[in-house]
Amino acid sequence: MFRLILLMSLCLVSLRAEEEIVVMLSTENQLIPITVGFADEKSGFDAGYVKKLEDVLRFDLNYNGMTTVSNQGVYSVKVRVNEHKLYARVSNGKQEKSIEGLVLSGYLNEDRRVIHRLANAIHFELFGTQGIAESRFLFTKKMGKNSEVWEADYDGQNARQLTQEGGYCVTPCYIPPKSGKMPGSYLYVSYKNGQPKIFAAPLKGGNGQRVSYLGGNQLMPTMSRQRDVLAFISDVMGNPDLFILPFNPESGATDKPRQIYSAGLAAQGTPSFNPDGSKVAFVSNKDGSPRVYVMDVPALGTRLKDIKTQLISKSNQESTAPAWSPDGTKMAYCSMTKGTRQIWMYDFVKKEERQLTQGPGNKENPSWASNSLHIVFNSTAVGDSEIYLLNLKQPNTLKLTSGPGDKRFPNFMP
Amino acid sequence: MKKISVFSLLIVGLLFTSCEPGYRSRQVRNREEFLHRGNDYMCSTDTRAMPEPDFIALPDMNRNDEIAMNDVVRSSTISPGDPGSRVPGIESFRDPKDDPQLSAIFRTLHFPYNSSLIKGSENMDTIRAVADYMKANPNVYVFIEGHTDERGAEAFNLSLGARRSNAVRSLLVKHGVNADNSFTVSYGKERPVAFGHTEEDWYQNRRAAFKVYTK
Repeated sequence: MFRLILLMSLCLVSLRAEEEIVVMLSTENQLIPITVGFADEKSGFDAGYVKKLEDVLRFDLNYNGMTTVSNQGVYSVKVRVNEHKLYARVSNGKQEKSIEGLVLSGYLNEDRRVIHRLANAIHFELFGTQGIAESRFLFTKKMGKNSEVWEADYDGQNARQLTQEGGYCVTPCYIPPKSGKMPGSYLYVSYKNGQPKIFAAPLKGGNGQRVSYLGGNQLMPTMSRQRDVLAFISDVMGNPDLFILPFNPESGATDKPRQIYSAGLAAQGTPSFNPDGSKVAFVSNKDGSPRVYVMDVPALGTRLKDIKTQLISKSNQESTAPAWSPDGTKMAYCSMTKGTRQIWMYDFVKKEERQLTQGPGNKENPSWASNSLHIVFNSTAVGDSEIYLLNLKQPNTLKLTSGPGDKRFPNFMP
Repeated sequence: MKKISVFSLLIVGLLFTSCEPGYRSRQVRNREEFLHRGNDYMCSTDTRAMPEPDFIALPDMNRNDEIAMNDVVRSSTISPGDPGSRVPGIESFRDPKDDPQLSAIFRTLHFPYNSSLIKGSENMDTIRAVADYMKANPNVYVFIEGHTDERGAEAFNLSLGARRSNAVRSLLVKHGVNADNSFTVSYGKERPVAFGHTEEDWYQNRRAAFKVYTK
């Protein structure tokens, strides 16, 4: 009887250990400890509310990929909440800076974003670069036969439904904003007309507008960071091939769609531009199984026989869903690894592939944050598909979504 | 002499009226009509103006070994239900299983794993039956749905589904079906009919299915 209980206990422990998705770190990454003080000085809010705001800040400083909240640290941030206003003093051990002027409303969803703004300001003071605390991501939530586009803050909070089609939407992506601005619109694929077609819609709400009346299936749109060309998959030629469409986010298509790659009877998928828009990564099963390739975006009139592709995903037989990092140095994708899809990364500088995740559940559709450090992806580790966040410097991934429905196709704000 | 001059003028006139700049002659097998693709097109015995394509294909995309693909591309690229289409949207198409006669003809086709090859006598019998029916009934239009099983990646399966539906469409065109009467839609692994995780479930889901509209 005792042996049976012991055996069952061991099984439970091993099952619990398997539930976590673990990130395989590069050995040189280290987080800087930071202490956080949060004082309520006649804030005008009850203590529980102030505690919630403190928790948001601690989360932001714990998962920015640069710092880890600790009881001891050279870096520190002390926050006072006084009469609905935030006052922060940030220290890197040598210098102190003040951050003021942030006003709280008393509405948690709004004040979460104020705290995120504070976290980004702290990040900038300490490291000279923008953090991702104010970032958001798009995703789809599938409930039964319906799938709609949603948007959430980078920590999974403040999720709101964007499309109201009552139909089937997949693969949303932001249209990159003008420099210094936040994105104002996004692309997505909808089946509301029968065949999947690409739509552009404003983030503030409103119906999507068709991007192109090209016949056939239109799938997996992505926009260049220069905001002048859209890449997508179309079978108008009788095969799912790679196309580009010169596109102005304000006025629409500026020229005809152009086919830029085909490969016999193979299927192409998931294009992703490099930062300067001169190259595109994509998936093709032209060599047997789906793999990730990179090619130069060909000039008009280039013949197919002159287009050269470079194989990126060599370590595994089946790799899909490439995503080029904003700094251009890395490519994330998912690869079938010992029977489970894991997130992998190709480093263009080191010219090597690296497995980022391990653990149960198929992980797919990685998307980079603007800092080229964080990645969102969807995983079935807990049954339904949920959205997870990882960064290259921390071992644990974070589950950002929960509740009914499959959440998939995340796309980080550029 | 006058007759020769008039004849010469007629020849020259025909050349100028039916040939546009960039003319390049090419022999086409078993077809009377010609392909117009991008800026590279041929003289046609049909003097009606060829419609301007709404996209630019790769210049060397001639599939000389797949004449049916030429017809696929030549056909109208307007999707059902879109402005200018003579065919209504997919909501007007019906599942042939609701009609005993149609269900016997428009049977579901199945595919090997990670493949769009149409193999086996059962599949080919279905292709022939559908082709015969559509040639006899030119007012019938079909949507060909391409599906995959659950094992592939979500996004890539949308492409694989498109590959499968196009494989069926191409084969129907090769069997003489008017390319304008068939359309493809890919659902990837989004609409399974079997929800288990066995080989049999996966086989059931790797399929191409039809939806039918009679004008």
